[in-house]
Amino acid sequence: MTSTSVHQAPPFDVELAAALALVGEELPSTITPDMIGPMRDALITPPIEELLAARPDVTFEDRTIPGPAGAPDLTVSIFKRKDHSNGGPGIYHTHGGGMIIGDRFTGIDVMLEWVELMDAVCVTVEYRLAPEHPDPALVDDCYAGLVWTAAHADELGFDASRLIIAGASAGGGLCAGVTLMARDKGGPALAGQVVIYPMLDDRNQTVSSHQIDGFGVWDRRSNDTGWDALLGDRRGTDRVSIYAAPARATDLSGLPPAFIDVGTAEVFRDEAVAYASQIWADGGVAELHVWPGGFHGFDMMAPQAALSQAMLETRTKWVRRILGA
Amino acid sequence: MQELVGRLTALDPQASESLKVIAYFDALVDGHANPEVLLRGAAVLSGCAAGVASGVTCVRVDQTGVRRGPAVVPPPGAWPEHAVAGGGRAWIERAGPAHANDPMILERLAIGLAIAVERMAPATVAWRAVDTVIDPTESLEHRMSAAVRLRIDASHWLRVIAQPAREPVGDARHSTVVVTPVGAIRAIIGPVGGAGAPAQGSAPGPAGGTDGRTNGEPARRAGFGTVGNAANLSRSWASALLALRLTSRRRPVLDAEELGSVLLIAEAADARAEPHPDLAALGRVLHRDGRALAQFESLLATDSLRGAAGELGLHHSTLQARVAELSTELGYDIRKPDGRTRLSLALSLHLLATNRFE
Repeated sequence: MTSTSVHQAPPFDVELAAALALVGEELPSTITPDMIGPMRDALITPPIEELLAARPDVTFEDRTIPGPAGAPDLTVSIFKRKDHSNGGPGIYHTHGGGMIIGDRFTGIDVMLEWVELMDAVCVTVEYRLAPEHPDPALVDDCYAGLVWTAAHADELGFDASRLIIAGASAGGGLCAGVTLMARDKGGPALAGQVVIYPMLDDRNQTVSSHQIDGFGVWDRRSNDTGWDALLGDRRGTDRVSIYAAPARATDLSGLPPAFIDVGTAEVFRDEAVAYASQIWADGGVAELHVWPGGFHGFDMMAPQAALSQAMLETRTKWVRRILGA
Repeated sequence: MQELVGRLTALDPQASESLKVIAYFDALVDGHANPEVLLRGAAVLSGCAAGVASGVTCVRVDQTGVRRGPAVVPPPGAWPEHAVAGGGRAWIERAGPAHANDPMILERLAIGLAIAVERMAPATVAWRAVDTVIDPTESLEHRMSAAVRLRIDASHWLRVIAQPAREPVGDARHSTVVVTPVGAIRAIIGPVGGAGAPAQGSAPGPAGGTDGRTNGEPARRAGFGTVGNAANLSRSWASALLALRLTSRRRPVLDAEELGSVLLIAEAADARAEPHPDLAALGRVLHRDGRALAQFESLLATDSLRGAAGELGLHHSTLQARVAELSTELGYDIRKPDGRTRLSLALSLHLLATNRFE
């Protein structure tokens, strides 16, 4: 399949198209390897101080925790309400950024909303980034952070049986990968996984990955950049693990309930839908929402748009249902 | 503080970002956004609640763009506001001094609301039919059935008039707004009656006009499309838009029927990616010398150097010297008939490239 042999992508939602018209130039559709440096310097999500200024009830602390065996220690940030009562839900967060950019605060505001609403404890991990650190550094770091989090549930003040994992974009891929790892290694136990417009498939050959090429947000070639950085020349071969590219997994049984969302006009549409379908084929529990006219990360670019509000509310409702919070 | 990249937030209170505001609202209008979506856009860009009141209806969103409960109509003048064509006013609830982009946000909001309200009127069916009948990408069959819905007799002589969307129009029944690369333009289908008189309430002034200043205000611009029957309305619209794009302050109303083969050149210029060298040369001269445009226009509009000098308030020999200079800069002799033709065409290309109708 080539880019010329597929239909045009579904149209963008009108509010989102307008937002893209206004801010789109600041965020290039195609990220090439030489842009990784400048993108790391650019301010893609609001600084944590600003987010917390708008959430005066939330406090956080940084901790250094053990990384994977033989690997460096990790930094995590722990968020909770100032008036926190122990025994509520726990959220483990793996941030997004295409495997190549971002930090543990990227996309954290969605988690902070849940911390506030449900008196949850959120732990977010600063995993090593590609290309300097290729796979399996990223997913191993994330798994190590999850292990630590679950083991310290009492100290951190949440109920270990109500621990969910959540992440967006590359973080969604890492969330799914870590969840698979937890299943295959026999722990930690997870109550659910929130897989937000996830980066799951290094092969980049779905219809949607061909439709979004040269426009929108995180297009086909950006996806190449991210996956090449993560996997190098293992990419597209049978030397890629299901933890690095969860779309490669043929058995999705035995997983905690999954919430998966994605837009119709982004490269990840088809792999997200396929992931949900595989979960159901294997008898599992999943809820899938595909938002019409959404490009990648549209809720971050235009949070006030009607579609963004609907996406955020739908995720929140699922989390509350799963956690009984 | 570093600017946040790639997120739609309220605009900087100090920095004027007119183009961004226009691009945003154009995109909403192009996507047929409803009034609530338009208000949300104004609220997000300004950081204030925004509302519109028209007759008995009132819609208001808070500064996050959310519509909460029934809205109360504020008294006129309570907030910065802007009239909405067709009746009503839109406002943003800015307490304190205005931010740099407030007037532009209000203006584009009001224009967008007027278009949205018009689109929701019972004439909506007619509007969609107008969109179809002028659309060159639609099949003849679709266009003719749209003409039937508009009750246009297939044999009547008609033409399309193009004018900037922000200008008021008397009878919107056979009109629609098309977002084009040069701005939001209204297409009005009208009969060709009695010596090509325009439809009531549509275009101002005589066609092919003079310096159309009235009351010190620049004359409103309009392009009249070629005449034909219902099957030719798409061609009439295309030519009306070209004619509009060729207008200037000096010739604010142009008729495609009277432009002759300049239209062909306009179409060819649109199809090219690279500007013609004559356009580039003209652009350099105009950029360097603010007086040159008026001088070129006078030279082309009058029969003689003396006539032009008189119009420009210059001595004849001053203008003579100037014309020699300009010819050197352009690379051809504009005193000769061939040179005048080249200049005239270059000026047309310049108008096509630079005219925008916001």
